[in-house]
Amino acid sequence: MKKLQLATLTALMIVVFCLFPSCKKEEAKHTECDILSAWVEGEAYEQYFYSSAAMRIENIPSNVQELTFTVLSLDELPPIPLRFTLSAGATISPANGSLQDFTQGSVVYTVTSEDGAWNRKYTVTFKEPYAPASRYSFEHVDTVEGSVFKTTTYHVFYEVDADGAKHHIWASGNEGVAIVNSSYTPADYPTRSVDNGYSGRSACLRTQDAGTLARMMGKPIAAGNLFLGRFNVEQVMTNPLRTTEFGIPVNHRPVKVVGYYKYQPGEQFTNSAMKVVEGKVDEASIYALFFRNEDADGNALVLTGEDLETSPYIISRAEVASLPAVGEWTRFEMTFSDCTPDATALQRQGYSMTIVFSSSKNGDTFEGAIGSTLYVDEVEVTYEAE
Amino acid sequence: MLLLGGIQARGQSDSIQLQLGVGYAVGGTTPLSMPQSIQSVDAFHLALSPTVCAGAALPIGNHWSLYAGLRAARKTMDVEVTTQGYHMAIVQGDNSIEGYFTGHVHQEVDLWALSLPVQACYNLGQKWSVRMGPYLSAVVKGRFGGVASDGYLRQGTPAGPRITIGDTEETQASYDFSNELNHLQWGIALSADYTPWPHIGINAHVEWGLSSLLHNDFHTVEQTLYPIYATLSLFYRL
Repeated sequence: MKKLQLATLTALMIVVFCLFPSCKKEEAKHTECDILSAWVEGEAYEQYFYSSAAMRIENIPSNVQELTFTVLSLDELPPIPLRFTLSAGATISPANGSLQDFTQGSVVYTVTSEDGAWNRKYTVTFKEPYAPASRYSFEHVDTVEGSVFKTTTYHVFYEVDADGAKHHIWASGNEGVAIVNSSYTPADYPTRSVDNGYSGRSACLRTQDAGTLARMMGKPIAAGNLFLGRFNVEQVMTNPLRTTEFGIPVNHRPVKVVGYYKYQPGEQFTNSAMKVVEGKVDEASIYALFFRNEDADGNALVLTGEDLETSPYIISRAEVASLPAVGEWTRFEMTFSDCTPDATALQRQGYSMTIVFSSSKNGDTFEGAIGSTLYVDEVEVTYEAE
Repeated sequence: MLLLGGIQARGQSDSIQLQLGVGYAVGGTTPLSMPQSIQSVDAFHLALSPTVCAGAALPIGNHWSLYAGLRAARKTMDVEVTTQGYHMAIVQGDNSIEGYFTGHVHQEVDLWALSLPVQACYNLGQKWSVRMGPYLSAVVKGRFGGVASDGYLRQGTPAGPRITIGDTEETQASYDFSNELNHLQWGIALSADYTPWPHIGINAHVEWGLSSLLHNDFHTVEQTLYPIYATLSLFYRL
């Protein structure tokens, strides 16, 4: 009888535990459909590019679907066999490595996931270098919808060249805010375009409450920021300093940046634990960096907020020493520290510059005052004469 | 009421039999088949949860009786799995991030339930009896939540933004769907009693849930989860 009892119990236990298979299952078909990197292969094509780094685009952020290769000239650019690395199991059309003519405009590639259920479209453009404007007036702004929540919209600043083409060289943390706020309008975002600029429209950056989820993850405030570069959403929760990928290529050494600002610090300065720091007043920051955009091995360098203090590739800095609170448009000026860039590399797009604006100086470590507001307008960069 | 009925009837042969027991429950809440998005179960932390039960059997034939019981049980589960594209959401206040998570998930379930099994009982001689029938269970208090870590979430769809989830307290993502628990559940209860001594016996009892643990209109957890628990108890038959 004892045996029977044991058998009964064992049977019951097996019924329960067989539902939790402990062995590894057959791999599920992959669902992702990203281009992870894109490159042009072959010595025959090197003559069309400034450097070997310019022939590759690596570490493509998941929130990017426009890939741009810069070539010396579009004239006589032959059909290019562009190659890609894709998410596991994904396929691409037109085919990986197939010859495409990029002289007549962009080519759209569609990546389909291994399970066939998902796809993403990437627009690949080959263009001649965009010589960044010397004056940024913040007159051009797109209102875009969130990549996940189509019910939220925010502002993205861009520049227009002499041919009327748009250049999305300005980035902000708005995209990070958009992933958790489905109903925000452009006015609810930390970075936006407003009227009543020094001339025309201006950029308005405001430090605000980042919301309950961000607070739980130790990121209680979102400072308004605006910088030349791009925003990579990937590490928004784990390491937000890495979300700001700084810089656009320049082919002259920047010397000086001037512009106009207004600033009002928020009432209560709080630390990253959202505790009030008595007596501390928030400060805005405006600074600029000039840096080598290829590493020692000739690979494209991504400079992020994490590298600000340590990167050996930054050869010159400029910073506005103080930005007192002021209600009227006030001129600011900052001068780049002396440096001697390599003339050949500079000519070949080997250096980048960023200009960074933030409504809270320590906003990148989530210290600041909610309500701190910085307006900037009519920013002008002086480059060293040729 | 059942208890009173049992006590009043005590001493009369072929009348209502009452039994009281204490034991431990073990089990989990699970989909009936593992979805492909759960790649492996890495750890199943066995937690023994206390149970008290009372029941009464009314003889209705030669071998048969009708059994009704009342069981107060804590049902817990603590499981760690590796996922690939597992649909989930991180909700905190009015913010949420929903999407497909690839990484490590530590899932915890803790339910305080009062169940009422009504079973047909068949006596296999002096010492053995088996029972089967439906049960109704009221979840008095419960938690359904966990932590996702060491991986990434594709927000919205597998083609949406890829957001890294870390493995430190501040960079991992906790979730809590306790508000989505179904407070009234039902299922089938199977039991076996073994009474080697005059008053004392051993009971094995399985409650196989046939209703969803979470609200039917809650789709963040895509699979329907069923609570399935086994209890082993010692009982005293009056």
